[in-house]
Amino acid sequence: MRVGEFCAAARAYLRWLNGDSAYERWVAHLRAAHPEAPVPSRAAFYRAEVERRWSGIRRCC
Amino acid sequence: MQKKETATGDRRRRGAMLAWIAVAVLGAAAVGGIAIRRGESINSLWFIVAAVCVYAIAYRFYSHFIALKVLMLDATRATPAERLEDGRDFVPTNRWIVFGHHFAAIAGPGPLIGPTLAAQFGYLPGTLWILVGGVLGGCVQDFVILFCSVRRNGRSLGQMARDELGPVGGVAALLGVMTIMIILIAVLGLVVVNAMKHSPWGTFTVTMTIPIALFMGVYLRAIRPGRVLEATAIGIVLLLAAVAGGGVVDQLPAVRGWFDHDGRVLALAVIAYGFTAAVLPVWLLLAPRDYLSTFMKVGTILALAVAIVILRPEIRMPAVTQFIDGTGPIFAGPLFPFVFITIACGAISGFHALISSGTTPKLLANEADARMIGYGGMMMESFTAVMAMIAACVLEPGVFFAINSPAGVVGHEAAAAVSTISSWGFPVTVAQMEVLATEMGEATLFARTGGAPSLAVGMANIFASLSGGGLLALWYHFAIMFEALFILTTLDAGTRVARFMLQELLGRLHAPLGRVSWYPGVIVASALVVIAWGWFLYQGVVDPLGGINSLWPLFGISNQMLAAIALCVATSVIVKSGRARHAWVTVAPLGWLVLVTSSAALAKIFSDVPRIGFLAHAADLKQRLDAGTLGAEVAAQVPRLVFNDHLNTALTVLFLVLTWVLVLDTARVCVRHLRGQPTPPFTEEPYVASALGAR
Repeated sequence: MRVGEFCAAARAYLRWLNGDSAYERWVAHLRAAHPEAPVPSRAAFYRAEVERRWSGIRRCC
Repeated sequence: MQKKETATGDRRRRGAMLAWIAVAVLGAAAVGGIAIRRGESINSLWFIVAAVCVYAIAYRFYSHFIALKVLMLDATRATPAERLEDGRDFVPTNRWIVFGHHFAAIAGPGPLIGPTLAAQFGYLPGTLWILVGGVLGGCVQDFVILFCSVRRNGRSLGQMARDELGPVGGVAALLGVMTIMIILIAVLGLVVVNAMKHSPWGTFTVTMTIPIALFMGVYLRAIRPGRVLEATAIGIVLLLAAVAGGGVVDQLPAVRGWFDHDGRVLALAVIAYGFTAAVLPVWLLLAPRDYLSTFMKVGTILALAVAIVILRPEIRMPAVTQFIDGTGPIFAGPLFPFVFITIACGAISGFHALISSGTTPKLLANEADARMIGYGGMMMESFTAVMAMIAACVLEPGVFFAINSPAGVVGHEAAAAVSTISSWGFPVTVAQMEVLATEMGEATLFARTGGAPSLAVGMANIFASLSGGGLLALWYHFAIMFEALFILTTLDAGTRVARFMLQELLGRLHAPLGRVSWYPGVIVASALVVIAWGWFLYQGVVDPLGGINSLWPLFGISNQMLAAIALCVATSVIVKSGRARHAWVTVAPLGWLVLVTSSAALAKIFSDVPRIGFLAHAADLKQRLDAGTLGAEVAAQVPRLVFNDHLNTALTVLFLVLTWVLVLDTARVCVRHLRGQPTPPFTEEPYVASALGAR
C-alpha cells in the first residue's frame, strides 16, 4: 500500500513537471472560471500549448 | 502550566541551537580539512560533508535573514498565480513541484563543465568559490530576482530593468541576453563537437537523439496527443537502445566510417542542425527533446549524487596546482580572476535571473515559497557543481590533463603530449591512455577538450564501480549522450529565443520581419542567429589553441555580466523599498562580480601573453607569419584568426561597457532616491490578501 501510494505520488509529480497533466489543469480551470466556454480536446490543447510554451526562455545553461 | 510550556520551548530552542553549533563545527572541520590537507589523497566524502553543512547553515540563517529583514516576505499576500490565475501560465502550485520545475530549468550543462575546466587549478579554488559564491552570490541573486518578479506580476528581468532603472537598463539587459545566448550556444556546440570528434559511437548515439525526438513529436501530435509521460518513457528506452547500438556500430567497419568525422565536418553538421531545428515547428523536435533531456538530466544528477555518497571515491588531484600562475593548459589566465569566470553556473549565473523572472514566479502559490525555490534551487545547482568537481578530481591528474589539454599546447603526438604533461609533475603514459581509450570504446582520449569527455570518463568510472566494474564503455557513452542531449536542447531553445529577440528588433525596421509566424521573417532571423553562433563555433574548432581557451572566458564574462545586471535591478529595488541599509546583501556580490568581470575583461583585452590577451595573440600570429615560422596550414588561416581576435576584443569591450553603464546607472538611481529626487517609480503591485490561507 505504502509503495503504491509512493508510486502514484511520484507519477503525479512527473506528470506535472513535464506538462502531462497541463490539460487536466486547464479543463479544471475552464470549468471553474468560465463554465459556459467550450472545452477543447486534449489534442487541440496540446497543439496550442506546445507552440506557446516554447516561445520564451525556458531553459538555462 | 504556562511556565512548563515556556520551559519546554526553552529546552527545544537550546537543543536546536546545539544542533546548529554541531553542524557549524562539522562544516568548519570539513572545509578546513579540504583546505589544509596536503600531500596525501583526500576522500570525496569531505566535499559532500563540507557542502551540505555550508548549505544548511546558509539556508537556515542567511536566507532566513534575507526573507525576514531584507525582502520581508509576506505569506498573507496573494501571489500573481492566485490573482491572475489562468490555468496555464499562472497556476498556484505546490512548492515541491515548483522546486522541481525551477531546478530542471536552471540546471544545464554549465555547472558540469565549468568546474571540470577549473579543476586545472586543483580542487580547492573551484570548490571554495562554488560554496562561497553559491550561498552569498548565486542563491541570493536567484532568490531576490524571483521575489522582485513575484511582486511585479511575473515580469521579466528586461522589463524590470526598464521599469526600475530606465531605458538604459532595459537596452543593456536586452543586448546582454542576446550576446550571452550567442556565445553560450557557440561554446556548448564546441563541447559537443569535441565530444563527437572521431568517435563513431558517440556520434551515432547523439545523431540518434534526433529521429527519437522526431518520433516522439509525431507520437504526441498524431498518435496519442498530449500523453507526454508515455512518450517520454518510450523515448528513454529508445535512447538507451541507441547508446548500446552505438557500440555495435563501432564494431561494424562498413557503417563505422559514416559516423567518424573531424571537428570541422561535425561543426558544420551542428550548424546545419541548429538552423533546421530553429525553423521546424516546435512540436516536432524542440518540445520532445526537452521532455527527454529534463528527465535524463534530473535522473542522472540524482544517480551521480547517490553513487558518490555510496562509493566515496578518493580525490587524486592536488589541492592547488602550479597553474594558478596563469600558464594552465586548459585555459590560460591566473587564478584571479579566471577561476571566478570559469565557474559561473554553480556559483553565480546571470542566466538564472531569466528563469527566476520567467516561468517560475507565475507558479508560486505563496510568496514565502520564494525562499525555498529561489535560494534552495540554486543550492541544488551549486551541489551539482561540487559533484562535477569531484568527478573531475577522482581522475589521475595526468589523465585529466591529457584529455583536456589542446594539442596546440601539449603537442600533437601522443609521446610529446605525455612527456609535456609528465614534466609538469603529473605522470601519465601513452600505454595508460591507450588502455583507457580502449576501455571507454574510443579511438583516442588525447586532446578531447571541452570538459565533456573527461567528465564522462569520471562518471563512467563512478557508475561502473557501482555496477561491478564492467560496462565502462557503455557508461562513458551514456554520459556523453546525457551531456549532448541537453546541450542540443539548449542549442535549439536558445536559437529560437535569440530569433524572437532579433525579430523584435528587426520588426522595428520593417514590420513584417517582426511577425513570428511570417515564414520569410523566420528564415532570415533564424539564419542570422545561426550564422552568429556558427561563426564562433567554427572559429573555436579551427583555433590551434583549442577554442575553449577563448570562448569559455567570453561565456563566463557575459554570464557574470548578466548576473551584474540582475544584481543592479535587485539593488535598486531594495533601495527603493526603503531598506537601503540592507542593500549590502546584493551590493557585496555585485561589487565582487564587477571586480572579477572587469579584471578578466581587461586581461583578455590587454594582456601581453598571447594565450591570454586577444590583441597579443593577433600580434603574435602576425609576427610569426612574417618570420615564416608558421606551418602552411596555420599560415593560411592567419587573416581569419586575427579577425576573430579583433571580434573577441570588440565583444569583451561591449560586455565591459554594458556592465559599467548599468552599474553607474544603478548608482545614479539609488543616490537620487536616497536624496529624495525623482526616479523611475517603484513598480511593485499593491497588497492583496491571499484567499488561499497563509501557512
